[in-house]
Amino acid sequence: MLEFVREVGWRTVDNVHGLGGIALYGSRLVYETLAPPYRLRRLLDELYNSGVLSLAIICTSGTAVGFVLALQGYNTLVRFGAEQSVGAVVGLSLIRELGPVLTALLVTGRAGSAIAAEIGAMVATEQLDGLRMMSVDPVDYVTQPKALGLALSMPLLTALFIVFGLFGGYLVGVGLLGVDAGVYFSSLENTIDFRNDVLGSVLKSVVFGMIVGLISTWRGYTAAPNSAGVSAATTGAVVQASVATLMFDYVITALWGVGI
Amino acid sequence: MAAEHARGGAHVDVISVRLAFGERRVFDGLSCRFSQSKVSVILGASGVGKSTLLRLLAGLIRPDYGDLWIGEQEISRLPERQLRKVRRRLGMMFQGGALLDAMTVFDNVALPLREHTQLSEKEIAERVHAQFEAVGLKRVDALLPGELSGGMKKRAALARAMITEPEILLIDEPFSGLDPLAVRLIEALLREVNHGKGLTMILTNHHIGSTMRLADEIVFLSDGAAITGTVKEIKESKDPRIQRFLVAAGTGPALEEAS
Repeated sequence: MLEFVREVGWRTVDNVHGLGGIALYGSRLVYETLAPPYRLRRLLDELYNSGVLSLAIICTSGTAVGFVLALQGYNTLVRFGAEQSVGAVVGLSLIRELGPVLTALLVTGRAGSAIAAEIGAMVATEQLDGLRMMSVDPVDYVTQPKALGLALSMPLLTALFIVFGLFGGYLVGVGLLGVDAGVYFSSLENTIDFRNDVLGSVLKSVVFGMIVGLISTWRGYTAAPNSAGVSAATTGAVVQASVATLMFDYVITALWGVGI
Repeated sequence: MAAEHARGGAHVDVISVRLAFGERRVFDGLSCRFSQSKVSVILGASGVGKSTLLRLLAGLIRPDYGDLWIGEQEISRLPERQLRKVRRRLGMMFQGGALLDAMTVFDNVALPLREHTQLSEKEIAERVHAQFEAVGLKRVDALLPGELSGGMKKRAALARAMITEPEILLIDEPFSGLDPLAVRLIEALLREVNHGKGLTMILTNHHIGSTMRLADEIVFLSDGAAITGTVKEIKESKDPRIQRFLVAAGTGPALEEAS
């Protein structure tokens, strides 16, 4: 019994220590973002790595999700004679929930894992120590541009995911199931509320971008300097960023829904 | 904090340093010094803490207790921001090179100049190419570190460590993984740098032949303590730990007598 209590105690201390560490690291990221020097060239590189290189997976996945939403929505709505509302169902689902969440999960899997692995490998091969010896701060030079690049990419990728989702829904709903094209778009237009739906979606994508950027770079930065450490950092980044995304999704939905 | 210690003009001074990683105690009151403009080699068996000592001197890890002096500056408790200023006086060549693998060799060597000077790109290119020439590298500007051989990587790392003209050069295992010819080349290069620029050089090495050729003074690490002396003093030492090491390496008096 005593052993169990001791174990719980140690784990609690360990987790609090970890949370403190990531909070301090997050504040350093904010500081380095606001304070000069501003590394525009490195930021553009990271926007390319996190954003442009994720375009294919985002567009393909968005279209596929649009297909499924239209199909499932139509099959349900037709029972109530409301199949003309399929555009609204696809749009609401994508904008309020699936767009931000699925984009965050996809970007975590593609760019977040790559960032954690790359920084972890730099730790293992002493590249970050090499920077320190040149009096260059690795947070300022390496991790901050990566975190910021990912955070800035996320809202844009989310918007793209939603647009391709709507396009996929249109192809299936209008092209395959015979819903009128004008009705598809008008139901969409009449249902979507700018503040509740669109701004909420933007808020989610911004928060998710910051979460994924923070956790991915943190896990890489604190990786043990060996191959097992790099592997653990990569897995940890994907798991923790995904779980954090889903938890924050609930929090934002709940707060935004009650008008905060 | 640490015991009083007359520094006596040493360029780098380690005073009563204790360091442990978890349960494993690496140093327990280690004291040693490294003279100005000399080549000092930290010698010792694998796992004795040679690279750890070098990382302590670089401020990359901090001791649990004790003082570390770089010139007139005590660094063991300096905040990271102030350590960065101290590190501008240091250059470090890591065992694996530690070159940024996403950057070309030219950009790697140019990085400290771009970060800390107001030089134009033209001036930076001139300085980098002069450094390449000094370490014997040709046509490597556009290559990535992964495209270099082991010896070339070491030379590129040396070029990067020296580009800002540091006072003290820390070098971790410069000869590991090199063939005998490359060992001689790097050896000559280090000797030339030491003579030409009067740098204080601190190397870790387990390559006994190159140590004897290169070193002005040797810091022999064993059981968390240091024994310091010239090459002659170390070779003639009666300390059983040094004798065992030199005999095993094939250069000790016992072996010389036997042969």
